[in-house]
Amino acid sequence: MQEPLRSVTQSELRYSPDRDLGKRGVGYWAFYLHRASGLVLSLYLLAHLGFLSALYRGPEAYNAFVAIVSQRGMLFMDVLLAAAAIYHAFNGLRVSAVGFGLGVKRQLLWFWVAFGLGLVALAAFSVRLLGGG
Amino acid sequence: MRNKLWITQAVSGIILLVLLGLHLFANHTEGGLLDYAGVLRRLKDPATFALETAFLVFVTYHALVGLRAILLDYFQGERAGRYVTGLTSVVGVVAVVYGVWLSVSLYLR
Amino acid sequence: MTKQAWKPGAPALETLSFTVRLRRGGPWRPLRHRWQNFAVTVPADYTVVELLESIKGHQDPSLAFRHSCHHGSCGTCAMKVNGLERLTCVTTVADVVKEGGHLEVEPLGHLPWVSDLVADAAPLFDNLEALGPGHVRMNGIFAGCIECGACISACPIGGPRSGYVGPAPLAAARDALVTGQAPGLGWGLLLERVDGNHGVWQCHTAFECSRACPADVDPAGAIIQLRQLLASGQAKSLAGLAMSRGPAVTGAPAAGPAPAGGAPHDHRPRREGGEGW
Repeated sequence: MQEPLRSVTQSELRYSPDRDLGKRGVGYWAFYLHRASGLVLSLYLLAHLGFLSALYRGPEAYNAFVAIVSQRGMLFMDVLLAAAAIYHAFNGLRVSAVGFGLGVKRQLLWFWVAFGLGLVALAAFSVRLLGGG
Repeated sequence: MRNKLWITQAVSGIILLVLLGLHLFANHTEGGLLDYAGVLRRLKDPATFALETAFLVFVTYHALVGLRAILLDYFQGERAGRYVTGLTSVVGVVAVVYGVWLSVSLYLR
Repeated sequence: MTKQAWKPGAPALETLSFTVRLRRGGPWRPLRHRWQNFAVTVPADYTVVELLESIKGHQDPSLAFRHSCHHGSCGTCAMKVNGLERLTCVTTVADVVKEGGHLEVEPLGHLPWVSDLVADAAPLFDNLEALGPGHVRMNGIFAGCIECGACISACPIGGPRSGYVGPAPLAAARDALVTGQAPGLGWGLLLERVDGNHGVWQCHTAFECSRACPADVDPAGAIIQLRQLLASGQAKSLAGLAMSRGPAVTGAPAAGPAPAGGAPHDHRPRREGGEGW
């Protein structure tokens, strides 16, 4: 069986210190950010499920909770959470695609495309949250 | 992590993009789920109930498989593997059961 | 990143003066994680290995480091230079440090530390022998690998703590499957290992391995191809095909009547037992 796929071109992946982000490449940081954002989101999930117990306790408890988290300062935390979620989602799309063999040849480019789209999404979300809605 | 687990992780992630979007849309539009009465009203709608339940299942699955992968990068060996898989499975099941119980009890109010 | 090339008849090369910081010590010494600074002045086109030899010759003869061919084909001298994996025999000091600057050299990461700048590549060699196609390599992604260990060091989850077999062994396994040459463990165990918890699925596609490789091997690409082979079931058929070709090709002791007409003579050392069948 011939090679099922072309290998990633070395010209993109050739070691080149001029294109470093510090000591390690983009892929290194992309991976760790993906892990960190995943951890943050998992902890948020568990906390969120805990907070929702306020619903069980009744309208006063829940509405009071919503009032607290709707304050300006807390909304800012929402933006941070959204940043983590958006990064994780867009980078996750890239990881899934590359893992299935799509876009391997230009995977670094795809990372930046995903990152850029993510920034746009985050900006839109923040404007919506902090501005009007 | 065997290939089925990796594939389900990737696929659940993609599905979550949709579900999360819908979840946020349901939450933050037309009063949505930001007050108690609104929550009860929305949960009575079977579509929303199904959406929230599906979202809970997929996000818990994705999160716990991810946590398992992270833990297995730090603890290796047959026994560690079983403990980690067991622990994350238990946490996942508990989370889903709790969420469904909560939704159902609100639905019945 | 200028390379100082000397041509015959040209004036003597510039020298560079800088500080070198070297990791010293090791697990057998009571002092752990000690660093030592050396002030050096060397020709700018000295390779890092030559720099280390100069330090060892003129300043501290107890410095331990490995080097062999001095032309980038044996993989012995791979180390971390300023935090990045390099083959030190083909890296000039002008590439990595400026006049008056600071150069840091330490052994490869994720491999057992022996002493000073020496890391033990035995875990890598063991995995390569277990999963790779043997001494005769046919044309494939893994063919150019010089077994230096840079990929193991660069991988964010490489190392004994994670148990990950590593990029090079997986690239070797991919070649073994695609070219049909039996790995040391045999086909059954190969599939189990690469498809298991510490095989291809522990790769998180950081691509640092391909980035660090000095031999133009693309282990990340090989891992992704291997994933596809495993997920589609092609890996199993390839292994089955190779097994059906018979023991003369696969290197295990012949278990049945020898194939008529003679199989090509297999120069690889015979493996004990025939596990994995």
